[in-house]
Amino acid sequence: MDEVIRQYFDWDAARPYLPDLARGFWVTIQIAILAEILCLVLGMLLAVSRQAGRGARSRAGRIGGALLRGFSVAYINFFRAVPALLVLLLMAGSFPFLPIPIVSDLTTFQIAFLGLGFVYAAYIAEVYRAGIESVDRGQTEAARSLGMGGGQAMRLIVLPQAVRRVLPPLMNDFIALTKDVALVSVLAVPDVVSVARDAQSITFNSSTLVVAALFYLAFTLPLIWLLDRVIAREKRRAGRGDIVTP
Amino acid sequence: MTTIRATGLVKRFGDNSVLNGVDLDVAEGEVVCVIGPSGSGKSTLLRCLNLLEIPTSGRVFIGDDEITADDAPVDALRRRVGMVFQSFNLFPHRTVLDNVALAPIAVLGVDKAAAHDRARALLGRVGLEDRAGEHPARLSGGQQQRVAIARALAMEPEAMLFDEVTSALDPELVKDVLGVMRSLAEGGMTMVVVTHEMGFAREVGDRVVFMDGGVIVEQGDPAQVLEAPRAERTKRFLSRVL
Ligand SMILES: Nc1ncnc2c1ncn2[C@@H]1O[C@H](COP(=O)(O)OP(=O)(O)OP(=O)(O)O)[C@@H](O)[C@H]1O
Ligand SMILES: [Mg+2]
Repeated sequence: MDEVIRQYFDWDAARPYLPDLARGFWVTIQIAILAEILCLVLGMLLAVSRQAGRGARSRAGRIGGALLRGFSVAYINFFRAVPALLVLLLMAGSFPFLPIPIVSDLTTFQIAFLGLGFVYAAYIAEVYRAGIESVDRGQTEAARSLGMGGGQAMRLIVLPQAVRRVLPPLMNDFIALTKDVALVSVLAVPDVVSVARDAQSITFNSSTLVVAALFYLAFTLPLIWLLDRVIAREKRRAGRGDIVTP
Repeated sequence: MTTIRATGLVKRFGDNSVLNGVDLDVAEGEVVCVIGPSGSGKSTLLRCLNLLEIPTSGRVFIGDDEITADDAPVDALRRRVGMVFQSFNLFPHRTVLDNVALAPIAVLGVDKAAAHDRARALLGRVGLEDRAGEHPARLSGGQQQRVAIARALAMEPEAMLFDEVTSALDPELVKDVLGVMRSLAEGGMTMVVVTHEMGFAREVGDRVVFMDGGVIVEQGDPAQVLEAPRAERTKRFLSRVL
């Protein structure tokens, strides 16, 4: 029994690695936040492109819109269909050998957050899209009837309402993204999981992995709690009819 | 104020032919009330006038400018024509004041303080100056609709389109909204009003247009059309609603 407990909770085995593990978790957080910023911005661009040129009257507008829509649909479906791990391996394995200046100079750290950001942008775009489509068409019509252009109506009227409605799924995806940062351990990025695993392979004791899990818990549990609060607040709001116009 | 002129308007949704050649000429300062059974194409006609719906064929002129022209500056022309919807369509994430001031700021580039002053004045005109800081959801339907009118007026339109703006309201709230519209009409605004309020059409309208099946069946002086309709279809419609 002792043997079992010691395999997971051997403080003495983990202690020497604590500074490395803490540094590793800092790497994890940095990657998560950089990837999150990237996917929020890129996801927004994809979601808006996906709506592009629907009401366009000119030929150029229609063709441009169709191209943009086609590109964003292809992007979104590709990254939803292919495993994130494969994308990361593909980027890290090939980028250093490409004869393209900036791309071949990327560090594995940069490739890690770019890769995760690219993948999650596809999910985030779908979340935004659900939000955009949930906003009543009358909102856009009212904005357009006041003389706003399509972009203005989207930016000032539709998106603010859309983003507010999808706050819970956006937070959910941020939590999922943070957990998926563990994937970058295969790229030799010193994130908390890779530090813990390296230690485990030396000591044959899993306590460092347990510490890594504790780091994750300390970060994600508050987020999960916050998410539940946001959902509860949205429910109350919807109940009072604050968001929907009659 | 401006004129609105539509010629030969046809609108099809797939196989469904909703407008089948409508000609409408609205003079400066004229109040035209459009009546007709459900599904006759009243809303579609109105929405074609500011190009929320793109007509399958036909032309629409705002004053001397053709909004249906290939290279028409549609956004700029829409500014000149305000629209009020049956379902209000206020912006729920903005305060009442912002609802009114937003478009002048964003579209016309009016300075924020000036836009807010003007929005307050407009809210005063529709009797809602004390609700400026609230969100639309806190207001009654009638109040929301008056905000929507103020919002359209904030763009200083030369004409206004109203699509059954009192149909979603409780009877006791209808009066206030119609009162605002009446004072607009008296101020010389060019108006096209789709309505079921026959009393309003008779008292405020300069002309009543009866539509059925995507065409104008009959039009003329309100008293004549409403009390002595010539067409059989108009008679049948009026006997059902009056
Ligand atoms: N966007 C659309 N797509 C397809 N069909 C439409 C669309 N908008 C309107 N229609 C159809 O056009 C016809 C006329 O609709 P419209 O809303 O103009 O009638 P209306 O006279 O305003 O009726 P109501 O009094 O009920 O408002 C209806 O049969 C409707 O189903
Ligand atoms: Mg209608």
